[in-house]
Amino acid sequence: MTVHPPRPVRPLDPIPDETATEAPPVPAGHHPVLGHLRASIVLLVLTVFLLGLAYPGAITFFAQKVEATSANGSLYYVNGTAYGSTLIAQNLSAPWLFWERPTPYDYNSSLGSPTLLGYSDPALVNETKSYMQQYGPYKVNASVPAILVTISGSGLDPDLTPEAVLVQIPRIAAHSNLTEAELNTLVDAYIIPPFAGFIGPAYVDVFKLDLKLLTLEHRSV
Amino acid sequence: MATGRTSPSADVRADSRISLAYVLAESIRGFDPRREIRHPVMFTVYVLFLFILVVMLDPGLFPDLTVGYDKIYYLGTAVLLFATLWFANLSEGIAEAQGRAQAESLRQIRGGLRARRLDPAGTESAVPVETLRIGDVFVVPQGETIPMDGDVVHGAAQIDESMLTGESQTVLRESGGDRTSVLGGSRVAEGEIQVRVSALQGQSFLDRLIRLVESTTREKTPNEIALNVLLSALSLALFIVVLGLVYLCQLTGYAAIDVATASSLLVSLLPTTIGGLLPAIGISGINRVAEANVIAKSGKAVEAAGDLDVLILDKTGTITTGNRLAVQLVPAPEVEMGDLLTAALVGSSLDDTPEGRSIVRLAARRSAQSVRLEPGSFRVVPFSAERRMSGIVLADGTEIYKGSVSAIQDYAGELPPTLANAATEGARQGMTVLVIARSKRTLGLVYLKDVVKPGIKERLAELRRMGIRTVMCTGDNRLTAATIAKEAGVDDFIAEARPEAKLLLINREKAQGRLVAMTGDGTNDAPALARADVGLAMNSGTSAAKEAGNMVDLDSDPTKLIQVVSIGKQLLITRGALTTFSITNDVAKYFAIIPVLFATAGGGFVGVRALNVLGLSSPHLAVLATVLFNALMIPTLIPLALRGVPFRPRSAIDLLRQNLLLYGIGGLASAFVGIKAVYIVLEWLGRIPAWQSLLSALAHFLPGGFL
Amino acid sequence: MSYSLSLVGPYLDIAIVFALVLALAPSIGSFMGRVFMNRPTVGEGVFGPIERAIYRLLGVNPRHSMRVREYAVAFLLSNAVLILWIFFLLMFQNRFPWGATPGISPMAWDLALHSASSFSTNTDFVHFVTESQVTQGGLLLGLQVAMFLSAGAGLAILAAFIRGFVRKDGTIGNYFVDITRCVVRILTPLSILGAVVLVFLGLPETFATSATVHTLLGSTQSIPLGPVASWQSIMLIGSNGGGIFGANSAHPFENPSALSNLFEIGLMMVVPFSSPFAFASAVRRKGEALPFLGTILIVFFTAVALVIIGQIATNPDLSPIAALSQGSAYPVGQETRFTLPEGALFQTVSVYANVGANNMAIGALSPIGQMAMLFGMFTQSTPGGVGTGMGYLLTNALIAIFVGGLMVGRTPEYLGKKIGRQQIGWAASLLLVHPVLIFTPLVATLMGGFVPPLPTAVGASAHTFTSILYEFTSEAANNGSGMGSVYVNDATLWFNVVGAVVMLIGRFFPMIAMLMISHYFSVQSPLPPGPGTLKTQSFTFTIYLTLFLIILTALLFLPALALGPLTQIGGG
Repeated sequence: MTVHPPRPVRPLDPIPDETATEAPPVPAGHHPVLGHLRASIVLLVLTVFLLGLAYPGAITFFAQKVEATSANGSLYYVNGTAYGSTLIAQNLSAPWLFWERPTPYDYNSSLGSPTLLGYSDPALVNETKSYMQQYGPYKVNASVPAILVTISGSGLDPDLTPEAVLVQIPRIAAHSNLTEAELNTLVDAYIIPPFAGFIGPAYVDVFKLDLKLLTLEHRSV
Repeated sequence: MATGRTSPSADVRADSRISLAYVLAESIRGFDPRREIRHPVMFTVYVLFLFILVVMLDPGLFPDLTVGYDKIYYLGTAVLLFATLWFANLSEGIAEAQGRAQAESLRQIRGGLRARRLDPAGTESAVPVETLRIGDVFVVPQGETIPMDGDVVHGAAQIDESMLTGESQTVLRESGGDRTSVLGGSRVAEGEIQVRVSALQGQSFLDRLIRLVESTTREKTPNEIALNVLLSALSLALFIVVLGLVYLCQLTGYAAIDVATASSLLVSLLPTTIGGLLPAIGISGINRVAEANVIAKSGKAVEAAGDLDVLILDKTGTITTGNRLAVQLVPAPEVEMGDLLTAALVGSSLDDTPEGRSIVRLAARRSAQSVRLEPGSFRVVPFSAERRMSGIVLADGTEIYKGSVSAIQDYAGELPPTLANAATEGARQGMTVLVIARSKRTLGLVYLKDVVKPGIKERLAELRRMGIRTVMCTGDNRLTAATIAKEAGVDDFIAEARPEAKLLLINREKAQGRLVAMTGDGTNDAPALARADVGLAMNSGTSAAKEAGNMVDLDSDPTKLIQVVSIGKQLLITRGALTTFSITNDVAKYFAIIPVLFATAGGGFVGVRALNVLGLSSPHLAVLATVLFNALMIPTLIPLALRGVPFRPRSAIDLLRQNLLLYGIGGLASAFVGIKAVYIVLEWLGRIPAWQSLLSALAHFLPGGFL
Repeated sequence: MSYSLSLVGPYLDIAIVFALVLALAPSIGSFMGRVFMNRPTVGEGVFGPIERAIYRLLGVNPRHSMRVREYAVAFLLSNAVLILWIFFLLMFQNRFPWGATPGISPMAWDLALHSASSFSTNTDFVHFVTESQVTQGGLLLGLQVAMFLSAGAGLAILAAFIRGFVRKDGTIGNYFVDITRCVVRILTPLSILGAVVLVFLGLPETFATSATVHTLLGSTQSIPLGPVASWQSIMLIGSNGGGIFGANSAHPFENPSALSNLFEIGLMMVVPFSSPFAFASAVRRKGEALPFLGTILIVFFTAVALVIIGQIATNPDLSPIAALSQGSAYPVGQETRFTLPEGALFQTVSVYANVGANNMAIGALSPIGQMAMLFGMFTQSTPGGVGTGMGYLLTNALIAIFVGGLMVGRTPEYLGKKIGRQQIGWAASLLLVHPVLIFTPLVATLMGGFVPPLPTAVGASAHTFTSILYEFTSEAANNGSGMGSVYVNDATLWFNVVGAVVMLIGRFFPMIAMLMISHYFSVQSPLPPGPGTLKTQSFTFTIYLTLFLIILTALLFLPALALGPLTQIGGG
């Protein structure tokens, strides 16, 4: 018998069975379930030591060597005293300071993240109105940007959009020895531009801004 | 009628004569819970129908679930759920009736036959056909019907099988060789034969045929089972979802769903279109194969036909006509062409074989003169094994012989070298070479060639488009085989095949996981026919072959396999297409029902109400319109389920694209349009006073709500 | 700053991140595929000896290939050991090293059960506030260990699943080899790399638990600290998502800048978006990645667009408030240091890749955005979690190929393996188990009064309802993101126990189903593809798979979306 293809069909790529390993008989005295149990426990113990301990230990060792400031929470020290973290909001509700976004937890991060009111919840309207009342006694240039009277995702970020900072200037000018023009210049200097021009928004770290403001006003710190 | 495709004359093709009474009776019998439970999707509808019926009669049973009870609405729901079930039963009934009509006509053939049994002493006795045992021999004289399947052991006859196959031309059956098998129910048109019984009463081909076409306990095919599993899981998931929706609407207080609406929503969402038509699709697949005059021994074989990867075809009889025909004459040196032509004409004029006739045709075309032989002026010398030549001896003693090279060399001496070379070259090209000699003088050669059947090339190309590889099997040498293979356009061929070649090839292809089909008629084909995934035995073949194959072609047309493949594919495509249709069709139903659930809620709900793209205003009408549309889809698609989705061979991805557009997008769009249309009709009906009074009369007389 | 739907300007940076990940995905995926199929990889000289040492300690013969029953036993035992360890660790967390964190007491059994189930199942849905309820020991020795092992288990199951397509001897691999290789070669190196970069991007990394500062106005503030960078890295890479702080990745320490935000998006995307390539490389059919990647991208981009569109629109409820300027994007729950597209991409990746980390408050998202998030958890596969997401996409594809295969007139097959009754049965069971796991507890919670009566205002009520729906959906999908509602406290006995059950079934049932499907494929000899085989590497099939996934999901979950997010819209 001869089989002769007149137009040879291209041999199709067969799936190689390279991973198949012969299944040798389980060694004598090796109980399959107990063996797997032992393996599972050893696997866990190994992971606890290598990935639970050694991994963060090594990264911490490295971080403390190369980036000590941020590795310890980007704390801002003056004369050895930490006044806060440049990344974390704190209560700055004095009338002569720029305010941050409201928080239900008084900027206490150990209470977790705020649970927010839903988009369609009528209570949201009331909550927003009540936060707006804080701005009521003070003259506001224009309408209040929503960002000033609504809670962020973390409730801990010290950041505001430039316009939300600028609308506060009349109030601060009224409560400090700085003019609106001086404050405008100050805020402008503290606008963090988008990274490389296109990553992130332009925003202001209110903690840093207020630190500077306090020095200018010669108040404490 | 060669292919069995065109002529509607055959008795087994009785599709136009299905009994309406039977269909109706069958559709009612379908409500037997034992039958409903075999179809999970429809069984769910069945349970919901019974539930709604109970609730309609006594809404007090579930006061929480029947808030806003409206008798007419519940009645309408019950009627529509019933209609959904009935339509599904109807489709199955029609498909079964088609098969039954075929069985009925077959049964009539057999009625009250008697056999002339021949006892060992040689005496003949008339006995009832039921008493025949395997091995008994009976005689069938000319004009009588053969009472039982068997093999011819003595004699030869022309058999008329038209009552079985619809084929009006008679076929030759004779003892010895591969043409011994006769079928009970066929008639001896000419001659007389003795037949040895080869099947038990009730096991004969006719019996099995009848059983097959009318069988209601049809086994489900693997793909049908898998599809049923998928549809059941989907149905169960949808049941959970609708149940969840009912509870959640109530718990949140956004909307109220009563049981009638919930049941309607669920029934509309269930894949009832495919669920209802699934049995009919399977039955009609077998029926369509039967219509093509092929008897499939199981539905599985039909489904497998759609899956074939490799088709093994015999060269002779399938790809070629089986006759070698003269194509060229080559005179010997110093012999006039005219001389050769005359000798060829005279020598073959009384040769009635196809080869002989083709030589005459060729010579007559080439030569101007005609030859007339007076009766009594010649003697025909037929082909014999010892002489290996055939020819004619004229009154004047002139002998004209033709035969193989070696035979003529024995008769007339060595061939001239040029002629010998021509003979070798011809053989090399796969031709048969005959030498013509007159009175011991070699005159020249005739080349005879296997001729590919008209149309076979196109059919093989069609198979290739379907993704099926064809392998030609022949006993010829490689050269001959290669020439034919190229001419016919098969993908591969096996030359110089020994009888077991097909079996070896099937084993090899199957070992690589391919599905193989073959046709065969001889006893030595039987093992391969049995091994092949689809073994199509020729009705003209031996009983052993027919026993081994899982399909028998009553027309004995090997190319019928192509048609069977198409039917198998159609079967699968119909299932896939209707499943897709059913699922995409369902999505639209949410848009019809969910927004109207909120119609009674107060203000607001802008988002949910935006889903009401169909602009339906009356909740009850919207729900009824959706269920009605859903139910109507079943009868609308019955013709498609029975006929099968049209199938043209093309690449798989083109098929997918086409069917997706047609049944996927079509399913989505038709539901939106259809539901809106039905809604408009219902709304219009509701404004007709007569309809209103009919409904209020119904509401008045129905006991619902008063129990 | 204003947002438009053009692809430039505010969308440039996220487009670059996306392009980078997609550019890396083929090579990372091919690496993963080699890891899955026990082929040598880059760094063989380092990884090989480590793994062999581990096998020796484990007492495992790496050449032993398991049949499905043994594989499943090994997998379940290993997970049981992990769950028990974390359960007891959290219940007695004060007696373990770093257990003496002031103010933190041992966990109640139900909360410990929920937390152990949550982290071991790669869900990381938390009912605790990390800073005040879990000790440093509990975090590092328990939860972080689970983050590695659960992600490793997900990858191992994917490897075993894929082997079914390749093998014909009825075995599907060795669980311990699979998880070891996936942790050693994929998760650990990526985590170390990620952690180092995060250190440079300003994340804290210290064993100190907190720092106390004097605020500018003279009071004191306690600022929790910890090894944030190393935690954040495995949390994002392993699609875990349980933050080391309660505020998760919205917390300025977990995600201090727009740059860190972009990098973290990359960390979340890397394994899930490379998985189609890993699959293709494992079965040695390069092009097979494309239909899956295409499906993922179509669904995913649609979701990102919906989230952004939802946030650009002003909230109509707030519009009547005088003197309030809503600006160009709805700010509630959004961090100021990220632009809307950056925040939206992070959040959508997080939910769609089953990470579940938050850089915003999902509860404050627009209803359309919430709908998009829920949809991702309903499909679980666009791209879905580490390992499991690709597994879900494959099972969905098997169903699609089954129906599509019928439509082209052949018994459906994939990669030369016939899709039979058993494979369809197990794949379809996943269509069933997800709605059951979501609707049953949802109905039971409302019916049994385990939450206070819903608020009367439909807007608030639908939001609360959505938050419960979201919780069970997130747990059933092992996602871990939560939207929370001020009206519901989910740190209760009911939510802890039911949540644990939902997460365990939602994790282990589908994984066993995938192993079973793999088994039924692994006993078949593959047949070579013929011209009649449905070609999956095609545009048509990609669109088909996408529509199939969307329609099937819509069919099962449209009612849930209608009652939840859709009812919120104009709820009044």
